[in-house]
Amino acid sequence: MKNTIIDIQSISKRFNKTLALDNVSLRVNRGDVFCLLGPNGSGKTTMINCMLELLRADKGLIKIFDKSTPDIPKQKIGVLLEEDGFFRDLSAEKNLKIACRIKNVDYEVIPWLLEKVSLFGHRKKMVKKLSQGMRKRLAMAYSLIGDPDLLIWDEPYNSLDPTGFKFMRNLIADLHQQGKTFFISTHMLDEVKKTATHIGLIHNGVFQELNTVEQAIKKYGSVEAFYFNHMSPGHSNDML
Amino acid sequence: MTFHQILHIEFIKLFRRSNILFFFLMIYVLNSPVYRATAAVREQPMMLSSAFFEIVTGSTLAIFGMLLLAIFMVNSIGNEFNEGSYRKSIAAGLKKYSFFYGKLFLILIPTLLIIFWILLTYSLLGIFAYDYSISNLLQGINVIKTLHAGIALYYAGLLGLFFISVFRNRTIGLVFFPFWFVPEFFLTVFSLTGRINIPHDFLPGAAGWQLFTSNGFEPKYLAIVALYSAICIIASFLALRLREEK
Repeated sequence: MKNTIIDIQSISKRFNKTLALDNVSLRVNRGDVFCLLGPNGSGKTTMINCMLELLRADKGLIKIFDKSTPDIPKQKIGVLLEEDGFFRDLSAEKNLKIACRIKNVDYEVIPWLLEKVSLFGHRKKMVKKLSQGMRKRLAMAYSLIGDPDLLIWDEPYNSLDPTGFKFMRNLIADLHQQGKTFFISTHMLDEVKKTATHIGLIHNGVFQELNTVEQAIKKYGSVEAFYFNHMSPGHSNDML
Repeated sequence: MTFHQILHIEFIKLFRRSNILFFFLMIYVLNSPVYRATAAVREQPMMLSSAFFEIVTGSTLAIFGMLLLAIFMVNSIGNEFNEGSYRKSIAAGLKKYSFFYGKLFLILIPTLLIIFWILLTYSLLGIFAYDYSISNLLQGINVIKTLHAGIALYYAGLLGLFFISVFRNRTIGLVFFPFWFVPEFFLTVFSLTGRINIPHDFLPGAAGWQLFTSNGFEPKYLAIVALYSAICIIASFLALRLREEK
């Protein structure tokens, strides 16, 4: 039996009158590349925020590496949030230094990480001078500090150009080969087909289904059909 | 997270360009004792070291020094909220209490810098302009006043921390902060001139200013400032801890 890395049990989260997460349960095992699909406002980011203790779930339990909130071992988690959240008037290198201090990691990894995301030549530039794509790559480097076993990435494909997509695909494949586990929220179905091992779908705060990519394709015909079937049941062919 | 790590993080963040507003005000605050001291030297060729020390730590320094500390805190932490770096750090594993301890340390840096600069200005000008001996210099230093000034400056930083922790927005914090103290200033002036009758000593800004400018031991102002400091620390910590990071 595979090790469960993420175990979410019946979590719910409400913002005033909106039920953002409704009794969501799911498991992600070691070595999975799990992609959480769903349209904008479906609850993907809320779920990630609950996992990262940025939000408190109203009910339910979240366990990551067998530890529940608020004791989740974040040293073992690499985080990429939807907004880059960098110190804009500090250099790329100094932002990574802060992350190294937070994770108690030696600065020696910084040049290697910057090389890995092709930003070594821009290390002294202030973050606000970097393009959006560069910031995204810097965010990937940030998330890799401390060689985390689990990578939680929220909308990592946003603001990437075709080269960026390719870069991201290769990076995920490379890290997956090293045994890293991924939890990625996205709605880029093309990329999901190329990188994910497992997919799940959330819509209006309700978790619909979790499957391997092969099973989803076998059951629905394609990842797109899997997605649209849950978005508008019975009309997936019209959407495709 | 160790204390050393927290200090290091705050030290990296200290030299951000967004602190430029603070650095401009800092130039004024650091120039202020030098200006007053040189003016005193021109006017009076002989002066007791204690009187010279009083001049160096004049009351305008109190207002600008305290404003500097408060604005610095509002600006520095407000930026972290506005650009999402606070949220990112918490997601990456920084504990909220570590962040908070870091800020308590951060206030110490400009506080100690100002106090150090006052003492340095007093010592150098005292030696070169008035030929004070070392013992003369030491006798002139009003330790109680220096301590009071340090406490008042740190307290102003705590007020800034409180404002920004509650409002969580740099712009609102920077706008609201002066708006708090302008009415307080007028209330104090009206109360001192007898137009209204309020216990102005108990206003948060006025109490800090009184403490900074007091010459002797002032238990009343110390107690008021200690009370407000405790409120600021508890309220800002709770504001950070209890609020979710949407």
